[in-house]
Amino acid sequence: MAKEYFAYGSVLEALSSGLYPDKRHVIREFVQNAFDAVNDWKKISGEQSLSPIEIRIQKPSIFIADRGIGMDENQAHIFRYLGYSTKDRKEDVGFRGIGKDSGVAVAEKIIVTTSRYQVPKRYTIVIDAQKMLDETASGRNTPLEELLEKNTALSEEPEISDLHYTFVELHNIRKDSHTLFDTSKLKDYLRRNCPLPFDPQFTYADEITQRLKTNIPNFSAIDMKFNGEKLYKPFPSNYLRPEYEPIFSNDKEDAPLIAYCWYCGNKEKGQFADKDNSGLVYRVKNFAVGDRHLTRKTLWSTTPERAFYFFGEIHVLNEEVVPSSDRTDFKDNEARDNLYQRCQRIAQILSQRAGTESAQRTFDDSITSAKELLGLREKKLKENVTPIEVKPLVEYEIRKTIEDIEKRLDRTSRKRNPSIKDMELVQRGAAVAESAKEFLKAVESKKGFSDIRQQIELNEQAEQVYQVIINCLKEELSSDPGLLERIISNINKAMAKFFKRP
Amino acid sequence: MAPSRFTQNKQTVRDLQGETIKNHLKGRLGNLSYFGLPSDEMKDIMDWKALFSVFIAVERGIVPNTWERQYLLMFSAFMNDILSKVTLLRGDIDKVILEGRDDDGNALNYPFDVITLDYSGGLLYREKEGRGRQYRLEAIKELIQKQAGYKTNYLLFVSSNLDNCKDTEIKNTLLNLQTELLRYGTDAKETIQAYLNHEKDEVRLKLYVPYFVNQIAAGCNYNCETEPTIFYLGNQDTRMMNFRFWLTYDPRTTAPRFPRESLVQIINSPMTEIKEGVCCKTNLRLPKLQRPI
Repeated sequence: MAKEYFAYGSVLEALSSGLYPDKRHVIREFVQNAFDAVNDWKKISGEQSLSPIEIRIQKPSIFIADRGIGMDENQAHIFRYLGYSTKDRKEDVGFRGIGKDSGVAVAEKIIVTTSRYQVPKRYTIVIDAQKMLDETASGRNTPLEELLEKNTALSEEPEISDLHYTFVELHNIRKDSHTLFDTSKLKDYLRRNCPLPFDPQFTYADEITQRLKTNIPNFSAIDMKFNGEKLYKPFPSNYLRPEYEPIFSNDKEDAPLIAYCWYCGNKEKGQFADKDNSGLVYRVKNFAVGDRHLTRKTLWSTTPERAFYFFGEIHVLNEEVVPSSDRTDFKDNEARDNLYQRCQRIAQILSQRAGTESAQRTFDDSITSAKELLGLREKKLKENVTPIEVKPLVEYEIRKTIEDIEKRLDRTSRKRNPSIKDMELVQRGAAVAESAKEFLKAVESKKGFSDIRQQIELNEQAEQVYQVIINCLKEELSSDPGLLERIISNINKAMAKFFKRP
Repeated sequence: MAPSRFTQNKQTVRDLQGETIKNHLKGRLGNLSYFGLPSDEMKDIMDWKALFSVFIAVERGIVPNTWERQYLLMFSAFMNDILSKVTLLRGDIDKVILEGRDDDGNALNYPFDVITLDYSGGLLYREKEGRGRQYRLEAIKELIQKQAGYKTNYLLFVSSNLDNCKDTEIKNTLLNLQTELLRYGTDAKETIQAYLNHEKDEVRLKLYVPYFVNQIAAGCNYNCETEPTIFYLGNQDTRMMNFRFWLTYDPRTTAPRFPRESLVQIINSPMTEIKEGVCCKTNLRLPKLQRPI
């Protein structure tokens, strides 16, 4: 009986191209492999200063190279297999053994040369992706086993046994994947998604790294060079000092830590101006899972806009929370639901903080506006240029200001744990309210207002005409008291000039 | 992997080239840009890697698996910690120079400080049998003219074997040279005939290549200083020649000047032979040309 096959070539096509609608995920897959290899080398060697992972874009190819532990003969053989991996789910970022095959979706050939530490050989694996896909497309229904065996090759050569590395070429990137040659976009993607160090320009880089090393077992950030340029995680400008939030699996005292979050608020009002670098991002083994919209979607049920008042990371520690293959979300399971639910606490804290900051900013703005208003009114009364006709408006304006300040004063004073900023606002607010009240008394006494009827002589009829005009204006411009005041002042000035007593 | 093509003679040539770079470009060492044919082993690049910040390397590979040598070149770059410095242009170097881009459309961006045209074949190859275009010479001409657009000084190294040295191009050029010298009052008949009748092809190339480069350079307002030509046995005992030129821009006049190196100087210049890695003087028994009084 002929050998029976259970998987055919089209599986490869589906796995390779179907998994990654965003072609840049393919590069991330290879970076993941490099990251795992470098971490393995770090464990063995104890080296702290590790060589960077290098990515070189050289049309029509992309090269990814690392000086990690490298592959031995067995692993080089396995590299040709589909869906087989010797990686440890707990230790390594990649583990499904299909990530490398994603290269089939973008390149005509995948060429890998690798040498494992203390193995005096180097292995070169060539995967002829184009031939495999051509054969699949021809409708020949070649069994997967046969397809892989026929179109992948492994050769070996002597190597210095101390050397350890893996060098990959994704050769002849296909036209439909030429977006990968947009170096700016690819670089940006890698900065957001890979386990890179924080930018030394980011003030709190060392502090956060230290915290993450303390709180996250085996936390690792690896240097990466992209076309010779060292890459760092991006960050927005105008950030506040970071704050940290451990997330436990439940409220019990001995509950395990399932995630660790750090975030920085915005020094300016509201959302960060640098939208792309705001928000929180989930990370597993320091690789991003999803983007800032995933946290917004999963944690912020109300006031979603407040998700971008901050930037930071949520490092997921629970091994049951597993990223989906394309790492745009997590696999749907109980652990994930628990993670989302527990992390909502972060959203609550941040929303509350955003709310508090927003209230403080508004209070601060009110005090400033009140001071400006009082100063302006006082100056005008001193100069005797405010028409008596607008006295009710001025009184109303001052009363509204007092009311607003007192309302905010009351709200802030009633806080259980007022911050220093709150106390300072209360002090300033009370002082402004007091001077506003004093000023209101002066206004009520009519002191400083100008009355045209005392400046020029109007007969009874003229005075009636004047009053009619003023009443009409008041009625028409009730919604714009500023304009009303300006028009009356101008009328009065013109009348004073025209009817000036000899 | 292909067997190593290393020879001690070739290494000595590289050492001499390295000295030439250090002599002429000492103020910019560490920041130089390279363009050339380093081969997948990249021996020259390895020797000079500290001197350069950019390497533009051309590799055409071997048909049908052209990717193999190209891959090895980048792999060598990685193994030698210069992956980020090396840019690979895929294709035939002459085609790359003449078209200004490689087989994948990557542009050749001038200028360079050091150009190494380390051909394994001959300089006088023609496109087709018979009278086809001499694409290598055309490529060198194009290269010198493109470099001239940037007015920078640079070194040009050319290595080739003696293939096609019987081409009439050399004979005709040497006869033209004889006529030219006579016009300026020097009877070079005996000397030129000695070159034409010499049993060794390399003597004719020793005269032809520096003359060719000098003429092209002068046409672009460049002075050319030729260092002693080198003859050596390369890989598989192939008879090879190496030329080193220092080209400096001369802005004094818009009109091209006559080459600074006189024909007499070029004719009388010596040739060095490298044997088992050691430089030796050669005695080619060629008559020296007297300068006209």
